[in-house]
This record gives sequence, structure tokens and C-alpha cells, in this order.
Amino acid sequence: MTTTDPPRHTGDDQPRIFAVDEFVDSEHRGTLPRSVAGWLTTTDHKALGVAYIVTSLVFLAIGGVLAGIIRAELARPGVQVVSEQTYNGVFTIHGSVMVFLFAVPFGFGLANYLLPLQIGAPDLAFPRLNAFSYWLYVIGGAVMLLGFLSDGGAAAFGWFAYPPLSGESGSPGLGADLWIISVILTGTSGTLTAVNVIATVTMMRTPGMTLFRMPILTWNLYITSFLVLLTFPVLSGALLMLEADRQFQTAFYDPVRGGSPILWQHLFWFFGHPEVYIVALPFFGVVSEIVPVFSRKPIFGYKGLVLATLAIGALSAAVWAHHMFVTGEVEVSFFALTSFLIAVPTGVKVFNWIGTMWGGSLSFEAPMKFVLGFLVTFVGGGITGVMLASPTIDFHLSDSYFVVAHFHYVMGGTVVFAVFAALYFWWPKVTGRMLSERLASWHFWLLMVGFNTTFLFQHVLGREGMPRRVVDYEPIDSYERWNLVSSIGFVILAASMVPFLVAVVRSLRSPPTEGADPWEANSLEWATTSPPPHHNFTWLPPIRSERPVFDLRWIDHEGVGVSGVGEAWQARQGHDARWLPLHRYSQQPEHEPRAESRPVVRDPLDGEERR
Amino acid sequence: MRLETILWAGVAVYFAVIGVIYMSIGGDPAGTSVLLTATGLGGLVAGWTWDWGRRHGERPEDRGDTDAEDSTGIVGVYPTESLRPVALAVGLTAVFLGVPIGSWMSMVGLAIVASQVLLLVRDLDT
Repeated sequence: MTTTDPPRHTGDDQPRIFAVDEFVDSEHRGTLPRSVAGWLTTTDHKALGVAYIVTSLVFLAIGGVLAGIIRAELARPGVQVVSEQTYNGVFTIHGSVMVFLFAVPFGFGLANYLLPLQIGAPDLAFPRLNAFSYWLYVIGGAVMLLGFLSDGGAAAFGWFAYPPLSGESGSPGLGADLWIISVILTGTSGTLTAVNVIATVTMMRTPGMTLFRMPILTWNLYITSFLVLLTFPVLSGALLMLEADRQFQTAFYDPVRGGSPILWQHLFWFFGHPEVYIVALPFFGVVSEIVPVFSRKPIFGYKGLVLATLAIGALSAAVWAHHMFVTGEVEVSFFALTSFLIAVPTGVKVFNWIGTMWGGSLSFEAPMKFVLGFLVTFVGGGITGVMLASPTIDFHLSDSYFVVAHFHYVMGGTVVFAVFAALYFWWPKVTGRMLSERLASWHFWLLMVGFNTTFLFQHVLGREGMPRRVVDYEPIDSYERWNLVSSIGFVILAASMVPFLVAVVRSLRSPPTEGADPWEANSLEWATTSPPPHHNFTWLPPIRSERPVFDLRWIDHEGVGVSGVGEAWQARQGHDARWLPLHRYSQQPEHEPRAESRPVVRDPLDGEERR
Repeated sequence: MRLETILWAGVAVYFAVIGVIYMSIGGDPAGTSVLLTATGLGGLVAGWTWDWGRRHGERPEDRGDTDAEDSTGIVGVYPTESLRPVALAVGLTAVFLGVPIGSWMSMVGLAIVASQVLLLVRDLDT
């Protein structure tokens, strides 16, 4: 569909466009638990979603501090800041925290908070299972960090833990065991959340919300959950075997006693590559939600995007051994082919996002700025990914800083930019307040400059042969120069968090006054109070397209935008009185108005008052 | 449920095909077996959704022309707040930590997990 929406304010027509607030009881804001006991026992998907997001941001800060130690150590040749063993522990835990405890759980946080709202459900399918997943994640994450306090320090074998280095003789001490157990626990937590998401999407959609009307974010979380189910159990199994090798003297991976270290690499990367997409797909979803809102156009090629995501999900399970080209033990041509192929659906996505912006009425509020930052870093990392998929280039660059730069673009930059895009975009929904646009600009530009200064020149370092995971390097001119530049870039990157924190504190100290739909957005979460009340909706608009809230705003304009609007208008005209009733759940709390005692809503069409 | 069934059946077929291709070009046994097992994962969900659709027929959310009021009434029960998820998570962590630290810890963990699972099940029955 290539129609353009009417511009946001259409002069004479203005009175005929509805604000969602006309339909929503804006005074009835939801609340988060107020006591420690409340937080410990809550099963509310919104409270747990906030908990997930805050916890994952705390882990981002911890991972960031560890990154700071790495950059401080590498700023000059020689060993100055930490010892060799500590350095190995620092980069291992940095990678593990960022991947297992920040990027993946942030996506689950989005799934927790937004997915039920986007499909018109009152909660996830299994709220207690959801609470269990969250606590398993927090406690599991703490177990990983405890490694720093154990004798011999934290695990120091890199985040992919290749045996025999990760075996008993390679890594004696408790730190390695704690790392293994932590990843098993957080992996289990992820698996359970995935079950929850799939059950919710399958069984809890509101009437009219067919699969192909779900927001792209919900689609992506659905497909992500499938990938989690496919791969996390494989990782957990592999880790249990590794722990058995360490503690019970089995020999799965011990080459001396007939085991195979290559087996670990296969199992780990069967998890490890889909993991990249488990991290990325929710953020692709975030971007697909934000771009249409700030382009004032429907998403370009909705079905194409969904199919591209499905294709990415499918192909991502068949590319794992491109991480193992240099072992000389894998089917190089098969994995090179599938790795090249996966660039096609990914390219389709980028094409769709640009197609959405093309000819749109663009505005550059904070979420859109961060989305553009996302696109720049993602395309940059994607291109070096295609280079590395070519075995001849990979043989040369594997385990160099080129690979470090590549995946910090695809997994670091993309994730961080999309995380902040999501935070700025959904902040008014979650808190009922806005974040400062001026501070957001500072945040964005500092992050953009800082990120690219840190990682762009690591491509050069890698090409010139600097290996990854070394505490010291030869005092060659170019090594010294680019490492120093990279470390300075990190300082800018870290400084970019200051305006964000200031904006957050300022916003939280102001009263919650935002309405239901401050961005004039498209999907169902904007059709309820900010923050949404207990069990989310007291009222739902008819769903006739993938943009029910857009349809609602334009409901009096027959034929505007997509064809769905006309149908929604019809539904609105035909079944006027039948709009209000909703699902009810027997556990409705006391303070909630029951269906029969709903506040009187003035009908915006005919001015008639009704309940 | 038709679309869901098609989707998950597609997953099963895809992994069967890619698994056989990988096997036939001489792929490693670990990769071959995880790919072929993934067929079962897709097939399991496809089978469940197919069976559910067969038993219950079309739902309001499968149709494009239904509104919220088409499934009113009490459609489900949500559990109350509970301390058991936290306790269960602590217990499970203790079970695993016992492996390097000492079997006593696993025992304590197992006791916590067993008691909490029992209590959870009893909760849902009332």
C-alpha cells in the first residue's frame, strides 16, 4: 500500500479527527507496586516488564563499566590497569553480561510490557510463570557477577567458552562454574518466557486481531520466541555437559579422553548464531513500530516484513558454522551459502524501512533520531557481516579486531540505538510523562559520535592484524593511534548517558499528564491510559487493519488512508452500542470499575452520553 | 487456528528439508540431529494447534470482522499475587549451585523446589 496518510493537522478538517483521549478515561492511570513485598509477589505483566527493563539497563551499566576497564587497559600498550587474568575475566563477563543479561532480557521486557497491550490482552498467558522467569533471570545474573568474588576470579574463557580452555584443567576455580550455572539459569528463564509469549500470541488475541493484523513488534517477538525455544535448550544441554565434564569427570569435550571440542563449538554456535537474531529481531520490531509513526505513513510492505522475519528466523538456524570456518572441520560452502542468503531478507527489511520513510511527512523527534542511528550502525555492521561470510576473507580476519568491530556494530550499536529509541518512544506510555527533546538531542549526537569513534577504527586495527582478547599489544604506530582513538571514543560514548539520566530524573519528578496517544501512533497500546490500568483495557476500538488506533483517529473520514478505515467506520456506525463490553476476568481488583459501573463517556460522534 | 497450524507445520517441513540436505552433504552429527529434532519442535506445536482447531472450530480472533464484544463474559481466571515464583527461582538456583559447591546445597534447593511446586499446584486447584 503506497498511500500517504493525511498530514497530522489538516486545517479545516481538524475538528473531525479524534484524539484517542476522547475515548479513554485518562484519569484512570495504572500504578506499579509500591512496597518491596508488592514487587516480590507481583504477577502483573506491566510491573514485570518494567522490572525486566530496569534490571537489564542496570546490567548494561555494569557491562559498560567492564568495557571501560577494557578500553582503559588498551589505551596504551603494556599492562597498566588490571592483571592479565583479571583482564580475561573482565572481557568474558563484559560479553556475557551484554549478551545474556542485557540485550536478550531487554527484548523480553518489551515482550512483557507491550505484547499483551498490542494484541488487546489483559496479561500474558501465564503470569506466575512470567514472574518465575524474571526472578530466575535476576538471580542467575547475580550468580554470574559473584564470579568476581570467588577464588581465582570470574570465568576467563571468553563468552563462547571453548573447551578445553573452559574445562577443569583449563579453568580451575569456582568462577567458571558460576558462569556456566548463570547461563543455564538465564537460558531457562528465556525459554519459559518464550513459551509464555507463544501461548499469549496464539490464544489471547482480541477478536478481530488476526495474525496478519498484529503489529510487527509482536510478530517479531513471536518469531524470536520460536528461535529461543529452538536454541536455548541446546545451549543449556551443552552447558550441562560442560559442567559434567568439570565436576563429574565425563569426557564430552575432552580430546585426551576421546571427547570432541568441536562438538561444543557446533552446539554453542547452533545457539550462538540464532542468538544474534534473538537479540536483533525484537529491535527490528521496535524500529518497524517507530518509523511509520514519524513518517506519517503505513509501514511499507507489512506482509513482506513479516515474511522476511520468518525467513531470517528459518535461515538463522542454518548458518551457525560460519563461526567455525577456521576450524577446517565444517562444510564451508554450505554455510557460506546460507550466510550470504540471510542478507537477502535482512536487506528486504532495510528496504521496507526506507520505503516507509520515502515520500512520508518525516519528523525527527527523539525516537526517530535513534532509529536513524540504528539504521546507520545496522547497515554498517551488516555489510562487514557479508564480508565475513566469505570464507576466504574470514580465514584472514577471524579472531581479529575486525570481528570485534563487526559484531559491536550489529549487536552493540544496533541494540543500544534501538533500546533508546524504544525508551523514548514508549516512555510516555509507561510513565505518563515525556522525556526532554533537547537532552535527547545531546544524548543522540554524543552516542552517535562516541559509538562510531570507538568502533569504526577497530576495523582498521583488525585489518592490520591486531588479535582480539589480548591485554597487551605491540607498540606499533597504527596500533597505538587507533587504540587511543577508540578509548577516547568510549569516553564520549559513556558521557552520552549523562543527558539521558538527567532527562529521566527530571521527567520522573514531574506529574504524569500525558494522554493516551502523545505520538499519534498506530497500535493498540496507544488506545489505553498512560500508564495502562490493571488488565490494560476498559475499552477497545474495532480492529479492521494493522493500525487500529490510526483508524480510530480518522474514524469519521470514510476512505482515508488504508481501506481498513472505511471498514472500521462501518463497524463503528453499525454497532455503536455494542462497543464497550470487554473480556472480564474473575480476579478483577476492588478499585477497578466493573463493566456496569464504567465512567460515562461522551460519544464523540453524536455527543450523546453513555456508559 | 488454521494460520497458526500452517505456520508451525511450515517450521517442521523447513527443518526436515534443511536437515536432510545438511545430512546428505556430510554435515556433522550434532548439527544434523539438532536440525532434525527441530522438525519435532515445529510438528509438536502444529499438531497441538491443529487438534485445538479441530475441537473448537473458528475463534473470533481468527476472523477479520469481529469486535471485542464477540467474546464477552468471563473468558479466563488470572492467578493472584504470589511469593512462590521468587522462592522457586531461589530453589532452582540452589539446586544448580550445589553442583560445584556441595550436594547439601542441592538438597536444600530440591526441598524448596518440591515444596513450592506442591504449593503452586494446590493454589491453582482452589
